[in-house]
Amino acid sequence: MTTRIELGQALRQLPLEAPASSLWPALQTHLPDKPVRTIWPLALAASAALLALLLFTDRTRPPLTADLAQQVSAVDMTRLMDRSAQLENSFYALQDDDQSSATVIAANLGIEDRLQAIDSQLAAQPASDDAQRLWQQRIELLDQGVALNRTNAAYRAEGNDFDLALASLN
Amino acid sequence: MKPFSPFAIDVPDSLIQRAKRGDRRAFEHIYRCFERPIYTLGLRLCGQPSEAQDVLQDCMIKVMTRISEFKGQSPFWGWLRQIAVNEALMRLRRSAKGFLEEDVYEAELTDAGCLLPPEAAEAASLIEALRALPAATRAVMWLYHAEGFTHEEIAAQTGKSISFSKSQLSRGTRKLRQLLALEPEQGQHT
Repeated sequence: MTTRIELGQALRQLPLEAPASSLWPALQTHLPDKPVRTIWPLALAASAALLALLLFTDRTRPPLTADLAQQVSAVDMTRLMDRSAQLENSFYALQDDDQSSATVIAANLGIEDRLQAIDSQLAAQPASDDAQRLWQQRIELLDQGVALNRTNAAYRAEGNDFDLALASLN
Repeated sequence: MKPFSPFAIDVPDSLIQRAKRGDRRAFEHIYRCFERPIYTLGLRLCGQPSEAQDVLQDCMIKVMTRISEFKGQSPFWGWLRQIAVNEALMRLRRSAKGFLEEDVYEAELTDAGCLLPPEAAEAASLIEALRALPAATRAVMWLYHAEGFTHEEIAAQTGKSISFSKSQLSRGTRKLRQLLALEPEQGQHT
């Protein structure tokens, strides 16, 4: 006996249709004109506060042990901040929303959300003991973002679907 | 149980908050998630690709301009789907092929009448048969079967009666069976 299919199920199984071309380029002109990214101001505020701390260190005074430790720590921090800025540039430069899938855009937005959370903590306590750890976290997160967008670009360049590759990992 | 509507896509609250702040990329993500469900709904209800495209465009513009009205008391996809359904039905109502028919009694189908052999459920033939249905009938069938609306909900949205929705569903199913060249339902009302 042939198995029959319920009409509703058959209709629900029909493939979804898509427009001939994306309407997004035209649609985005309708977006309200509002400021969006809050990451940069917060990161800059955090950086500025830390820089101010470094600049106001009295360099004429003979270094004491505690000052020396502070200076070494400040140098480390500057390196972390430089690295973070470098990665942040790459992270945004590598993103290509017109060519990326919804999954990749969502992943990038997720990273931005987490960056924003870190930046908020840095802005609240720029010179705390935790600052170094937070900058390190920021770098690791941006590293992941850069790797994600590089891999996505490489897949696209070869005409492959990055989403399918991601799905096959699950 | 997870709703079977193609609109049933979970959107993180953080993304909605970003969209409410006017984040272009958050809206782009929403567009990409819902592009196909909205377009498909527009195509099934209105019939023509150009109309489906208009439904998609107008629906997204409403989502972008009214997102602050979304209070999060129900899933975001349900809110967005309602905008899409309203847009599609409004177009259908305005067109000559809208809900002009009067309520005509049509006997309800037996369970067997709603079953299709596998070859009839093949996508290309089913889509072709759907296209041949009267617009109002196709709209009711799609809202009921593919989107899971009740007859009460369909009646409220189309401005017709519950019996109209039920009759259209029975009529549409019979017509679809004819178009798919299937044998008549046992004991069918003629």
